[in-house]
Amino acid sequence: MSTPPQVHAVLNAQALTRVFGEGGTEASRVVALDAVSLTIAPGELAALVGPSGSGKSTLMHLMGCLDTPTEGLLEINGIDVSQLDDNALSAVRAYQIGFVFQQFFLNPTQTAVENVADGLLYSGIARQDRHARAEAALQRVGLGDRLTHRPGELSGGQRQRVAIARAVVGNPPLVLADEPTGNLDSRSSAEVVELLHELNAEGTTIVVVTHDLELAEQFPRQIQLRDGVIVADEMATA
Amino acid sequence: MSRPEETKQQPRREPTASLPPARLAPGDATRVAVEGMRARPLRAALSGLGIALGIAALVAVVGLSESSKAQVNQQLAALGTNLLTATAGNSFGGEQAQLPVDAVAMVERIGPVQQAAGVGSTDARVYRNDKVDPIESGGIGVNAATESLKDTVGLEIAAGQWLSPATGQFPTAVLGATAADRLGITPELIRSGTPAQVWLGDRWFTVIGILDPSGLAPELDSSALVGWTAAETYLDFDGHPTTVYETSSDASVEAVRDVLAATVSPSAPDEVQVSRPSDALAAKAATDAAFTGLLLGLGAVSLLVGGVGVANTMVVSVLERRQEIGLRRALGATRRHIRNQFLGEAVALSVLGGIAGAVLGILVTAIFATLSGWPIAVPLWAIAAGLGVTVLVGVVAGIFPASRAAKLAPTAALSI
Repeated sequence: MSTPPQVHAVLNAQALTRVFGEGGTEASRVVALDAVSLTIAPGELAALVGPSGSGKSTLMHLMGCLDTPTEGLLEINGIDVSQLDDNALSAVRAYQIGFVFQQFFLNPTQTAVENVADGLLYSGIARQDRHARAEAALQRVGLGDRLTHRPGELSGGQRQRVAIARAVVGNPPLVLADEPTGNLDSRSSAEVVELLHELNAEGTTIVVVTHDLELAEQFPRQIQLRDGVIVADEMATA
Repeated sequence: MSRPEETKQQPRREPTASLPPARLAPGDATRVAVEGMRARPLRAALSGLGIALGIAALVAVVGLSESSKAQVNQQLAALGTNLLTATAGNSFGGEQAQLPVDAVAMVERIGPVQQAAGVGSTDARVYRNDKVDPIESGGIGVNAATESLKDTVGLEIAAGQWLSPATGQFPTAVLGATAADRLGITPELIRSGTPAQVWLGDRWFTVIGILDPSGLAPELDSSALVGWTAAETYLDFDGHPTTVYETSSDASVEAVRDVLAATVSPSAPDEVQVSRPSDALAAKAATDAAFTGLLLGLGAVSLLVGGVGVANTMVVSVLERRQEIGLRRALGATRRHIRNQFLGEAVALSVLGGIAGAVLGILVTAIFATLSGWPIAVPLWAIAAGLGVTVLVGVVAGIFPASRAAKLAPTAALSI
């Protein structure tokens, strides 16, 4: 509750509600997200933290335009996405949002460059340009010397950095990282956290979704979610 | 938390003008569709195998049928289609009718007729020697033949010589290919100059020649031919021909056909059967069509099975690749992009199988035709049709799995 809504918010959620099993019996109706209001300003690095069942995954899906809210307003980079159809949501994902997943989701048959270039696959950018930008993105995450390596030839931390490069290759206004260190050892985790800080320092807005409070505390802002409502929203005093 | 496959009815709204739609270039779409196959080559090969066998069967059946037809046509071209035969049929009373003694001479007088010849059956039988039980005649007929028979029917001599005006007066015989085989007289024997004799009509006849199998007059293959005069002298032949052969120019075949029966037997033209032996050969090619139809049906069934195989592979593929689908949706793929990807993969699998099958079918045709001494003829339309069918099979096999993949909600696809 410490950040006031801004005019050019990357993300602006007002009374965002997501109910599952609507239309079914009262018992099967689950309110996963209950009137959540949240604003993320450009250049922020925030952690969305909460235990399993807190609604953080649901909120991440809504923020990532993978799902649509039952009620409430949701704007991504000024675009009202709460009522868009599937095609339009796909377009928002293609141009406005970068994803990082716990399991990396890299294509094992493709090289690092090809995997990163796939981040631009659905943006209508020519293949050569995609590859050029993918190389640049890999340089940015410190894997300039692993361009033609396949995921099987990379360590876990390197794989996640490839996945992060894929998320930022299109310079999206918002990057969502879902448990980015969940499959990594502590050293690799520290590297990934450092990389996220670096990218943020270069201007990328990042929201890290995690159940791990310790991880969340390494980021400037922690939004705590429990039972579908925000219970705390703290800014570290840097 | 989230329920898989849950879909919600969304009010349709166009994105704001500043937001371009998610795009996938056609080249990229193709690459994405083929990628799944490249990742699992063995599975792709196995699922394409059914299609390949189906197409191979179809192409081979059509190819073999065309090759055999080409063979018959080649034969017809070599033998000619201008030969007509007039055979004594049955009289009104049911007995074997007779052609007049001068039937051959009368046919020769028909304007367009180039050559005419007669064959008359005798009651005589032929045996290897005089010790053979008379009952065992081996199904070989003894026929009187005019000297013009060889050129009229286009008989080829395998060994020895044909009947001449001189030899035709004496107890000499020329054997058809089958007859010679049954009587144990080989072309080598004749060529070696060893005198060969057969017991024919209670007398020794010298075999002076053996014929090659005849394409147009196969009835002569199992007969022993003796000169007209010799038959009358030694075998009580009455001089009435049983069959008259004639050739004319190709253009006048029909005209000759119209008058042949009346010319051969003016008193009883209804008892004369006129036929064109080349028609029988052509008919043989046509009867293959029924068989071809059956085999085509079998090929179609195996194609269907192949299609089911592809569909099966695709269904499994969609189940296995939920996360890939989820990732692609997260990267901005629309439902249509996902559907086209899997549809494209099904078509690619099917067409690849089809190409392999076409090659296999051509190979089978080539091998079989070569072994049979046929010309190799695989019609282009069969290959084109085969590949067209595989595209169709791929689309049909891919529609259901692809639409399932497309309907998968992104959140459900990403959850493990």
